[in-house]
Amino acid sequence: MIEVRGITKRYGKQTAVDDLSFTVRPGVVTGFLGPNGAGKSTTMRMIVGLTRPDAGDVLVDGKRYADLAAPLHEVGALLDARAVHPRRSAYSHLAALAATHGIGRRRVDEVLDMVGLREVARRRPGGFSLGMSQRLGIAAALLGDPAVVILDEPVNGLDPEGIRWVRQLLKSLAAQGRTVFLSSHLMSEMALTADQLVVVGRGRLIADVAMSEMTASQKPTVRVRTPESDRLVTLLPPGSATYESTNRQILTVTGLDTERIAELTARHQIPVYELSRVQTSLEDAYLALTEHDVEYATTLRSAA
Amino acid sequence: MTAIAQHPTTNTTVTTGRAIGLRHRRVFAGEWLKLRATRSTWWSVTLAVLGLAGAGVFAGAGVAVGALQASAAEVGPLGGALAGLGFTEIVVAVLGILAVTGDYATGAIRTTFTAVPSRTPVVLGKAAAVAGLVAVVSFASIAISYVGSRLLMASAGLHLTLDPSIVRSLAGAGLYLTGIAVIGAGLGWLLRSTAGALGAFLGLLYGLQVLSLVLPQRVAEVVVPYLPSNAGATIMQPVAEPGSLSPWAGFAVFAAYAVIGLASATIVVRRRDA
Repeated sequence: MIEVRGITKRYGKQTAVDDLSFTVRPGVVTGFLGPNGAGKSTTMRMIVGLTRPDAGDVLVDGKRYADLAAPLHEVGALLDARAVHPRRSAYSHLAALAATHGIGRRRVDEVLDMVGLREVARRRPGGFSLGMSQRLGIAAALLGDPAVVILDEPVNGLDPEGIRWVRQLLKSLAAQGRTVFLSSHLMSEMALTADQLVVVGRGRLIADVAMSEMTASQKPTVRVRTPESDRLVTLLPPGSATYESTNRQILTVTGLDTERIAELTARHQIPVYELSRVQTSLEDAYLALTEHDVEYATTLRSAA
Repeated sequence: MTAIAQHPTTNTTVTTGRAIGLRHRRVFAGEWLKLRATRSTWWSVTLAVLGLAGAGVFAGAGVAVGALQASAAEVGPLGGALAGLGFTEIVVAVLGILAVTGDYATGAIRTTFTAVPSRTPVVLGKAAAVAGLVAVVSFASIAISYVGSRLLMASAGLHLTLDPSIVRSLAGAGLYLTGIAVIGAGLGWLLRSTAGALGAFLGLLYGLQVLSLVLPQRVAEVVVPYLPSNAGATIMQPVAEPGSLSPWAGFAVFAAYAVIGLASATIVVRRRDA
């Protein structure tokens, strides 16, 4: 369990994190979402005591991080996969970390096996791909068999097999009753992995919801295929329907559910070949939610 | 995922004196491993050994082949055994600096601080690892240097006398280099950049010497003996130079610089965001 209680962090005039509070519960995978510069990494660094909040505090399993007697046994964190000495072997990196907690060499071998780096353990991480670095970072996070796991963008640079592996790993960690907290910009991946979502923008909390609520909160979107799409458009509220770019027979209608559209087409005797509810993607829900909190907006998006 | 235990281990160590001692020992073990596993460490060690041992053997060989005059006045009471010190002190300072700034430059320091959030054991553990390595390397190299010089000079008929002041000077040089490495580590913590720390070190060791030239003589007479280089040099001189501190008083002053550097590093590192 991670309890973030009213933390604020300023860098000069810039407020990176602004009175942020939320709780990450054990037993589920909690995703941490937000645009670039929203304060996600700063928040994660404050959880593990690397950065000191200007106000507020964070409790991990009821204690401040700095007061943990053996932090690696309680919290495993991957904050930056590249933050290893490039000329110190992967094995030495883990062994040095293990030594601080009296963790044996057998456990080092074990985590290297888990992440699939056994063969390259004696090589220097300077030559690792980003994906291999991520695996090494995950190995370090799991070294102390912690009850809380915090991962900042763990699937960046991983191949599809690696991404699936991380997903299954995180789900299994949560199923064992551990607290799993991860950030990612890959919405499709987050949708498959997380059960709960914490969304931040400009350092403030925007949403703290279950994944199912997040995607259900959006307006219904329906896909209609009809040879008389032009006539149907005139019957719908203005602006609610858009044509499929490649096929003018297909309309995407927002704000009306399937029943309403079916009644409408039946009354006006419009033949319908296909009528289906489009599942709102996490990406759409996320973009709609954070629209006003994007720190570095592109002109293309604000024009759209 | 059978490798992960079903119930995470929760360590409920009570922070007794023994637990704190254990904690420092473990952090030292981690820092020692990191120092050993870094290639730049062994480059520095190689250079230090060559610089120290090479100087004495070179001086001895010079006498043996007749390039240097076989007189005690020419080679000095130490037989040139410490001639490589000026070079080696920079090498071991760099070793101390890199042990710290290497972790900062790569971000590895954040991983270390996540494992040891109180941070003080990391500062002390690194200093102990660096000091231990430099002490062993220095004492061994100086012994080789002196014995090599002595044997080679004896072959040319020049017999050096080994009295307590010589032993103190040779051992003192080992202590001095150990202190230099600790000062380097302290500056590394304070400045976090290799270039900055090396610049500060050179300024502290050599730049301050300029003071003796610009200060009024009466002030200089009081201040100059306490400068790190002058205070540290006393323990390596078989015969004290006029106006300098006594050997052990001088070394105590020098050691104080190292201790103050490390203490301020501890305070700064604990307060700073990593």
